[in-house]
Amino acid sequence: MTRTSLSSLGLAAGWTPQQVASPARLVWPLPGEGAVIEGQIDRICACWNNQPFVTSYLDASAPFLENVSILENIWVPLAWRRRVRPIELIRRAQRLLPPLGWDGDDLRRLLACRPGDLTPAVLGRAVLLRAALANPDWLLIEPGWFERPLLPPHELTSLVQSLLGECRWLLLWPAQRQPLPSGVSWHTIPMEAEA
Amino acid sequence: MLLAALAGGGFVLSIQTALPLGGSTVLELLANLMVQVLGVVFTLLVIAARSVSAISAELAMVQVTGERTSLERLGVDTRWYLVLPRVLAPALSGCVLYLYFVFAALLVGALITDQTFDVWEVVQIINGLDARELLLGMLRTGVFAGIAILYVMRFAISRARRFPDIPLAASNGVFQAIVVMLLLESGFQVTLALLQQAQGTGA
Repeated sequence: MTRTSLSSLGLAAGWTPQQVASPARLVWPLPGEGAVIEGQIDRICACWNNQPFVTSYLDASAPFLENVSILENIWVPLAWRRRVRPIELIRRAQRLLPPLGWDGDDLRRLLACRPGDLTPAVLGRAVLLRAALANPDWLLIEPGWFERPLLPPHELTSLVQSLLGECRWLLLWPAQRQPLPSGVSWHTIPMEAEA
Repeated sequence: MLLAALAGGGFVLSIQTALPLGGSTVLELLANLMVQVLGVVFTLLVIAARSVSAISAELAMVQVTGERTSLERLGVDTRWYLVLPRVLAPALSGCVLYLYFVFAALLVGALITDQTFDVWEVVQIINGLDARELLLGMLRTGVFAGIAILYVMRFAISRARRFPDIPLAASNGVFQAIVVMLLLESGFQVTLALLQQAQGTGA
């Protein structure tokens, strides 16, 4: 896993994620294409994950490991970096179920399934559930979340807003691609060249 | 089990046909051969054929589909989550499988011998086995299996780019693992022989 410092990412001098007020909706314009962009996303995620705040990540292309259950797919990232009490997690999950349109039985069934058994819409909700269970300070969103959406268009932003509306969002978006996803008032993150 | 049975039975049959040796002598020979060389080699071959192909294909799949990238972006260190368990599990199970092979071969050998099958004779032969040799065999099996799998996994992860690379990773992985395992075992045997020769010269 790469270790990247904030200063090496090309952010404007003096800008730190900690000083951003919540809830901010920022866009990180990523120059280049294909593998270059993927490399930049890797570095940004590695850097954000090394910060003292909690970060969640919304991914649509390969959000879960296919050969393990949704429970393990949700549990491992949550418990990897910090100690998580299962009882607290269950309480948090119960609060998150109504916006997702699920009840306790739905959740139990979901957790026992493997990703291949689920429809894209359920998979998208499971990704959101995992992100929201972390109770994050920052939410990193990869371009595929909007470009190859798992959820129907009308839920794409509204569901994220209802579950993760209070945290700061950082959309990692190719600089050459326009327009930005609609329905959110995005602000571009200050980069070195602009400072 | 079949491999151990073939080894044990085949050894006893061929020795008894060729040489005028008693059943217990043949079983002692078989026990020494299994503990010192064949047990390790058979176990490593079984791990290479059965486990390495599955592990290589699985890791190549995780790499090609982008699941490994997603895990890394979620802050999960894939060296610990994906690699370590897949090295430790075959290494540990290899240790147990080695013992299983040794005892299965001895049992089948005792059943095939032309003398009357005597359980206590087999128990005596097992009791006469050198515990250090057994431990060394277990340790060698575990360490060599772990090293070979680690070597193979590096390539499965780094070279897999597209879906056609997945079966390639599996077949290459088995071949590479067999080569690495046999090289390690032959290196060990050569070193052991040289050490014994040096000790003999010194005495």
